[in-house]
Amino acid sequence: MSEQLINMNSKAARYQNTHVIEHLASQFVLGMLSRRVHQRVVKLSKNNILLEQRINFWQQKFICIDQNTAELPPSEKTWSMIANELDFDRVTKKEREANICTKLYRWLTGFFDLATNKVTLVFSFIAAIFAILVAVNPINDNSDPLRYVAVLTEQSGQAHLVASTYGESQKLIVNIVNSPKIAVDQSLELWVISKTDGEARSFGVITKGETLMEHQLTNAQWRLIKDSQSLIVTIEEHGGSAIGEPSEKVVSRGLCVRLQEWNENV
Amino acid sequence: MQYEQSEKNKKMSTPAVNSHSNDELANLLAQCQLGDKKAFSLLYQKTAGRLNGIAYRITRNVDTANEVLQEAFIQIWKNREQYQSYKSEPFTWLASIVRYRAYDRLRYDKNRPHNNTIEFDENDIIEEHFSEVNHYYQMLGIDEYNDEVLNNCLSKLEKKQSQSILMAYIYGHSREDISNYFDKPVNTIKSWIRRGLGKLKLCLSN
Repeated sequence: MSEQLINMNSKAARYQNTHVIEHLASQFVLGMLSRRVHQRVVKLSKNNILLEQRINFWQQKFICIDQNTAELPPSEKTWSMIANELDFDRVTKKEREANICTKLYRWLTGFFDLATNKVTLVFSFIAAIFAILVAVNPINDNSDPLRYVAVLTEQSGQAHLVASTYGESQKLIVNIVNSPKIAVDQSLELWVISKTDGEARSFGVITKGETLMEHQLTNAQWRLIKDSQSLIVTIEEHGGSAIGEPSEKVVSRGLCVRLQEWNENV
Repeated sequence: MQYEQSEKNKKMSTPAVNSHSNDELANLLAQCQLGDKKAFSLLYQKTAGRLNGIAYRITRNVDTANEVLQEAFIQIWKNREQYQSYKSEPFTWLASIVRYRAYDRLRYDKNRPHNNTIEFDENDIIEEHFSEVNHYYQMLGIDEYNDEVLNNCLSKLEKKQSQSILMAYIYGHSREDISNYFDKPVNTIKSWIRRGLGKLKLCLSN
């Protein structure tokens, strides 16, 4: 048996050890695991019934504390932001506008020779910007100016998606113009790379089949956008990265371009 | 937004979640799993206050608590298929999502430079939380919906063990925070928590 196989078997056996499971479950519920280990345990619990049962055991024993925690009425805008993010009221309009953006991009690219990557890259950028600026902006009911844009391109130079924000709406609009094919058990995840610390932070999984996504940003995410250097999209396991970090399979990347001075008063 | 009424006063005035309301929540979650957005809205109306309170308890900032609540409900809707009533009570499932998001947010905000989301000096907060932990002992003892099991079992632990466990769960304090308070090495705190959980497990399982 090879050393690698022995190591794999040791790791698997460790998560069948009841002491290890009990430790992980109780520390998980107390919130004492690091972010990386917490996400690892979330993933493990989906395939490890005993781990899941022990987590449920500890959660159920401590829940009386939460049941008796004092209520704090949420802000009035919280529900509208949730409904907006989940797109409860705008499905048909979104689908219509997604088709317009995609068709416009494909019409524009059809006129040019795609022999060189440089031509494709430049034209993809221009066409994507044009699609955003001139075509329908799904949420720009009040004609908010384009503030921030990133065109993410694949290695071939072809544009993958365009991310943009308008005015002070704190909405991130993602137009997927040409999505790469991925396996059924994989997902594409969008990350923002911070200018300050170079760390990547997730903005969530890109829903398969979607060509237009709207993401209502929290104040914290809004600050991340303002601090952003670039965006990348990676291939992850289904549901997204289990460890809160991007994989090495980068599908596309693009620099973030600010088109207008920011008002720093968030 | 001012959170003016003290936590203790609010606990006495607002009823805890009970088995009747859990049945109602279970029905709403089942409807959510069928894609019923109105049921989801109703679920929010019935639970947002308590869940926001949990988020505030941990993050100690009203705006941050609202953000955590928002992100949690988005996760609840997107993962609604994952809830299974035979595995856990509905409120337990909802509260756990909020609690883990709040812990994560607390860690993130603590590690950010120029953090301005924590409103008070960290040492003062820890002192305050240690004194408030006793209120939770009292609350667990008098709550008519609680079977007092947790309270009885916690009382069998050494005080520092139970305090450390409750400080982590209730307020999201790390081993380092607790270590600083007791002026003991982190490994000592780990040992207290591990032993305390071991005794708690035996007592709760009986």
